[in-house]
Amino acid sequence: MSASISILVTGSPTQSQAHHSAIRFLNAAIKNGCKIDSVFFYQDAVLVANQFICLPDDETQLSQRWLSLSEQHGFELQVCVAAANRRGIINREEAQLNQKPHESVLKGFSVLGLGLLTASLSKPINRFIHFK
Amino acid sequence: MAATITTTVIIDSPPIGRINGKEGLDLALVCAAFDHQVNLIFVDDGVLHLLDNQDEQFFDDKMHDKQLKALEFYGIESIYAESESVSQFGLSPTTLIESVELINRNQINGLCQNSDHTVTFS
Amino acid sequence: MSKLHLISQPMTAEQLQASIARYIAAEDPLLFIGDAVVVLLKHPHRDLLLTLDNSIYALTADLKSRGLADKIPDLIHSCHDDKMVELTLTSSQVISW
Repeated sequence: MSASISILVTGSPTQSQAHHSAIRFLNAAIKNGCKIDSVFFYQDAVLVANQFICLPDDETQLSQRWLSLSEQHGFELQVCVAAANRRGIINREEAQLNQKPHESVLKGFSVLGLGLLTASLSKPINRFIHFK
Repeated sequence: MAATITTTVIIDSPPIGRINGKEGLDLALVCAAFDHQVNLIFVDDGVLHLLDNQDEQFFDDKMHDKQLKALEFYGIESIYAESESVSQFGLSPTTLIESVELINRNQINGLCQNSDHTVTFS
Repeated sequence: MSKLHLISQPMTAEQLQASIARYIAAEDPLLFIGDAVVVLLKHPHRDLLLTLDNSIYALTADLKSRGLADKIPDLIHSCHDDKMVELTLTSSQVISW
């Protein structure tokens, strides 16, 4: 069965298992022949896109795992701009607009509007799944 | 012509302390802008967003009853409070903002069943 | 068509009862993942779940990683990742709570 799947992640990378569960699901879906249309990060999930995260080597490098999966399987890592700004996850454009000294978004994550999530919800061929 | 998508957004966390209500409402607004049929449902502590006498002088945050009162201008006509939750707080329905319709859990079940998507913010 | 309930948040028994009434229809399967699997051991929760006719699943990876795989009631099915995908694809929508 070749379905197209849209994933929403809202859970924090440190206060929930949302990212681990989403990645587990994504790998199983791909193994089953599904295509990943997009992964959208909203609420505290946007924190995974912070380039300044420093994790010990023996902990799951979630941000890097998302980047590899995105590259390997050709889907975009979409981060909600409003949720991200609010949490200090800003790209170069937002840093300049808001007179901040640096961008903080990890390269490979795209900062976009909430409309992208709604666009995914609007595609009838997509199956939608939300990890909290 | 594609059928209208129905999206139900459920908010169950209280106002002020947590951003879930605001971010849930933002999603509901964007879905309405995309011409989804949106059901915005407040349950549990979430019903407190709908109290009519919230005093905005203490917080700068814009998510308060004034914004919720204007939702139909943004395409959200179906705003519901769960009657069991309202009763649990000992609130009379007249203490809620006017545009809110009270529905019970069974009716919420029906709305979710008939939606294309149901997204919860807790 | 049935809806899949993807339950990842721990909750009180009262909240579980409310969510069951709000979201669950007769044929809907329930899948417990993440921290929510711990409620399958708690008495008021498991008693409530065992009154339902719905199929109830818990992700094997989440049970085993917590040492809970042999502690859940028989009526709750431990399932692998591909079952999670199958349940998603055969449902009209997935509601996460």
